[in-house]
Amino acid sequence: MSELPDRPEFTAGLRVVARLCRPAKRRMIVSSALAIVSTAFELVPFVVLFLALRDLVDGTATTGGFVTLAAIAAASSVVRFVLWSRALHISHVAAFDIVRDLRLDVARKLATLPLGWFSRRHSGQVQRALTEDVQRLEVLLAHAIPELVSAVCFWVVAAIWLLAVDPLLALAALVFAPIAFFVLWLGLRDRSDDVRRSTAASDELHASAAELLRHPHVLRLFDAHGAVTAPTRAGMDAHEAAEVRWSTSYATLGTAFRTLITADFVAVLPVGVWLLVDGRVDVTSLLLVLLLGAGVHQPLERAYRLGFRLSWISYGAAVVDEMLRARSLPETDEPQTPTSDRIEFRDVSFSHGDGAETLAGVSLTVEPGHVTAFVGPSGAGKSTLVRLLARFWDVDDGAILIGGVDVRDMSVGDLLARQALVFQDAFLFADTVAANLRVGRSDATDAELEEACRAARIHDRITALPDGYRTDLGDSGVGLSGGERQRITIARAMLRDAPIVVLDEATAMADPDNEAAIQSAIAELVAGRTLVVVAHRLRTVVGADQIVVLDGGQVVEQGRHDELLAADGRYREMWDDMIAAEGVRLGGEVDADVVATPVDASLGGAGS
Amino acid sequence: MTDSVRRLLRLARPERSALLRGFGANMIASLLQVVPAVVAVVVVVRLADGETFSSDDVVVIAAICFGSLGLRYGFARYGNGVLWVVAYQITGRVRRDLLARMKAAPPSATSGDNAGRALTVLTYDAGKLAGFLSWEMPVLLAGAIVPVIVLIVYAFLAPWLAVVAAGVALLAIPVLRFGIGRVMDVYAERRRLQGEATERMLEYVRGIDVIRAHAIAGERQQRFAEALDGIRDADVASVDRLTPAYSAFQSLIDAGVAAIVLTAGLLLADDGTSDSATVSSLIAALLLTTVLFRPQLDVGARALHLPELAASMRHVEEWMSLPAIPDRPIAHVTLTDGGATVEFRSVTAGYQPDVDVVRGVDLAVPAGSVTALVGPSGAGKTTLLRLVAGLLSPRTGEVTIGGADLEEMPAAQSAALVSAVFQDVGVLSGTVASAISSADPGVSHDRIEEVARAAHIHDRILELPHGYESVVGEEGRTLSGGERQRLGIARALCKNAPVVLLDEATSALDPTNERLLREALANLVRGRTLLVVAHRLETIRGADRIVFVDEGSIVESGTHDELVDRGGRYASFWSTREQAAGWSLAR
Repeated sequence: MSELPDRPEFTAGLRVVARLCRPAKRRMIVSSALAIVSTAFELVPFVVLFLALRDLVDGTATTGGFVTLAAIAAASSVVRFVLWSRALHISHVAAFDIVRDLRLDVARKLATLPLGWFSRRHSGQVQRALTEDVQRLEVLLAHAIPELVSAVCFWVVAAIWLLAVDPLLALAALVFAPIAFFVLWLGLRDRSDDVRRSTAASDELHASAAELLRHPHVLRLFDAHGAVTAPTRAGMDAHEAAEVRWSTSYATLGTAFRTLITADFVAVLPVGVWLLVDGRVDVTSLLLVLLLGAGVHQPLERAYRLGFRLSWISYGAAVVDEMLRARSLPETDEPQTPTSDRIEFRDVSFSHGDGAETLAGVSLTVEPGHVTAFVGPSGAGKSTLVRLLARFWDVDDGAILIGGVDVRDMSVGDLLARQALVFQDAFLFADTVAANLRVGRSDATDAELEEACRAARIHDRITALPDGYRTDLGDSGVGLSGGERQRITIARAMLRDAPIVVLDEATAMADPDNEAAIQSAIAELVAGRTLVVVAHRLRTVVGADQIVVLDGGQVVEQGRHDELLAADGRYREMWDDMIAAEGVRLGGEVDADVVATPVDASLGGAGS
Repeated sequence: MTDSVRRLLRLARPERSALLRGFGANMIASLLQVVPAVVAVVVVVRLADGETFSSDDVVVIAAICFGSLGLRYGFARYGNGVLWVVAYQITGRVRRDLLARMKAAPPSATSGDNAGRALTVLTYDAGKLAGFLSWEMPVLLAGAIVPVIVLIVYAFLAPWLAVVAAGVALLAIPVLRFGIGRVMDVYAERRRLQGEATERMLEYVRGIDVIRAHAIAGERQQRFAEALDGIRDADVASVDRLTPAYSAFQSLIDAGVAAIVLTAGLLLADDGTSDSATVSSLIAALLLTTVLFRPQLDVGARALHLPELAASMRHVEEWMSLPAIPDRPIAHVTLTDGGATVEFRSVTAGYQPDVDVVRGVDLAVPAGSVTALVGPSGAGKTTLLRLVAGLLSPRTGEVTIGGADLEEMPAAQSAALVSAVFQDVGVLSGTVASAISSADPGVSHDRIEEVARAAHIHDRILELPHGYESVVGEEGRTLSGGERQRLGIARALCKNAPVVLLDEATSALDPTNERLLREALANLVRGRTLLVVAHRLETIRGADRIVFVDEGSIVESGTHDELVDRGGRYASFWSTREQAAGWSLAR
């Protein structure tokens, strides 16, 4: 869990909370002010009781007087709770707004971060920040701020009054509150280890259970001895242990807080009687301090429950804050516009930050209108290289230029408008087909969508869906195959109408049924454009203008198919591997004929 | 609503004694809170009677007050210590039970749309139980017990006060119930919207590549913002609905003091000449109101959590009562051929009601043979494999292994007969060694290495930073696709089951990985019954039998040569495939 903030100081977390909540400052002030007035009314019943008791003790109590007192108490109850619910209503709505805005802020921020930021994180952590961590602030804003601010303000004012009535007696009535808060502070100070442990365990539980549920066949077929479910159960155990550990500690100090803050009468009574014996105080003052002392502490008790989760709230705020302050990809102030689509990788080095260099000094040029294919073993850096072109990350060293302009000196909008990217995993949003297509170009007309889909050989399939182009792909019943989803992403890329097309293993999802359709779709897409393609199937790129063999982050070979075969190097090895692989059959002997088949370079030659 | 509390307590029966101790100690602590108030009553009454105190009295008063405080802390500390711990233990136990049930339940209950719900129950809903038991329950109990005790005291002091106080409390309850009832329906809607917005958030994170590449962050954020507005509006609606009832309840309880003062006034003689006994009892009663209504005010705030508990309880119970695969026998069934023959007998199956994905399939797969399923996407090939894996039950007909119907076998027995490598390999996070030995964690390291060699992944594993002890990330993402598949093959080999299911991945691998993978597969098959869904026909040219499936039915079957000679569906499929292989990207 090294990516969690490093032991954020408890108070630092609270300062972050204050900063995150700043947009709702005015509403929080209004809410707190209403709460303070309401809290003042909270004292009325105690004052009423005091007056009634005083009259009883003095022997001056009358029905009429009590009726008046009762009326005051009843009226104040109504006023108190009308104000109180108004205060909480305002703070709740403010909290809901802040939570929504923070989530949006985080989402906006995520879109500007280099993707390397994501790969270093457990996907669960980003999700937790967006959901739970932000959500926790809601409790703080909706309840804690108005409730505690009013309780503390009120306590201070009432304390001054009591001290004026009788300092010694007042001290006895007030002494427990500071001690109680000191104890609570002791309990909450420096709990970041507990919070980390509990959060880490909860992340582990969440992530491993989610993983299990995504793969029911693994759960069914490979868990006879419980090994598959072990991490989930371990997450449950660890979470339980962390919560028990924290609860035990709060049971000691949190309970002490609550006991002390509700210790009405405990010190006042003996001190009061002692002062009474000495004749230093009268019965009325004793009654007053006795009752008001109880009254002023009542609101403070609300810190008890809040304290239990305060460390989590503060920690969550720190996580969200760290996310909001992460370094975005820098954007230039003076964007330059390239004059051509010639792509140049100039001595490009890049590392994902895990120590190993993904690309080491890659130099090559992609001529406009040409097909350039990157091949090589997995982990060679092919996908990273083509993604650098769209600034998913920035290079560590060297430069990538389009038409002579460094991609970092172009506006991001311009840079992306020049490229259409098709990825292997054919990600589609849980949205309508049309909305997914308009991801390519938001102002595309229905006719343009249809045209692109026809060209991508997917129009007929879409019209066969229950609601055609308006079918929601989020519905599990839609059931498009991987190849069909891929063709939608190709249509999406066509709508983009960009001069440079980047295919990152875009043909990988093809099964025999789809392969021909995907191939024609791609052929339409790339016509007349500069094509950069990452390919696993060597046969698909034999006709490329330039094949670049990457291995270990370096260009090991470069040239046309026949040149590379003739060079008898790494490409030749891969080609032979492919031929050998085609000869391995299930249930049959390895077919010697196929292995021995001479390579027919013309098989996939240009123009086929 | 209160019903959900009862059901929660029933669910917590195994921990009953600890719960009782925790609640009991907490209640004793709540009652001890009344002690200083009682001392105050005695003091004030004696003062009213004109009595005086000595310094000895001061010591006694101090001793009682501080003694009760100490005792109260002791009981509360003990009570919370026990209660909070047992509450999390209950959540832990419920989570483990739920997981065990999810494992035993038909896979459809925990996959697809249900997966999200299953996860929420395991994490959020089970967690709610602990929160309610540790925080809401003690408050609700104290709110019920303390007033009852004080009311009994009132009954002795001035019966009318007891009647009025009880009346206030009873009047407030329906108001609270009404308020909670109003939130219940909003709450269900809110939970649904929350789920939807969470889905949007996760989609946004998952789709960040596409969002970045198309510079459409603004538009996607718009969608996301709409979902967030939905939650916000539902939240505001629930607060709007709750506020009047909540204020009314709190005002009523708070006005209880007014009612008591009013009653006390009515009990007084109008001219200030009440007898001292009346005055004393009223003093006592009025002082006790400081402790009477306080716990009930808390109840108002805490009771608002009841709808959440009710929802979480309902979800937990739904899963707790899931039929663990219905009517499965306990005893193992005797099998023929060591459980290596597979047969489909007029099998019809599907995922949604009324939609059959497999229609009346009859197919016998002899022990030790290789049978390949071929056909267009959506033909039902993968579903046939899922039926053998027991991930889906036939609607009609039966699937047998070793001559016995899978439905008639204990789940553990049928699961033991089958090993599988599916398209989604499902390499879970953990060490490489633990991933391979999933099915049998007790297996020796030599055996793990042996199967890794056979799966052609051994050399690659040794290149990892910690060899077999290296941790593969979430979804095995530190490995490439081909490596994950070979690890899946090693895992399948390690299980050593008589029947192997293979759903060949469609995604292309680099040529070296592809060769290693195919050789690994050849090793996996040796000596076992194999049912394979093939996407690349080259792989299965040598199969004993190729079955062409379309629209859930078997169209034709035979060896490769037979089918090609026949010139039917398979033959045309084969020729399309050959054309596709010759395709190339070029200007």
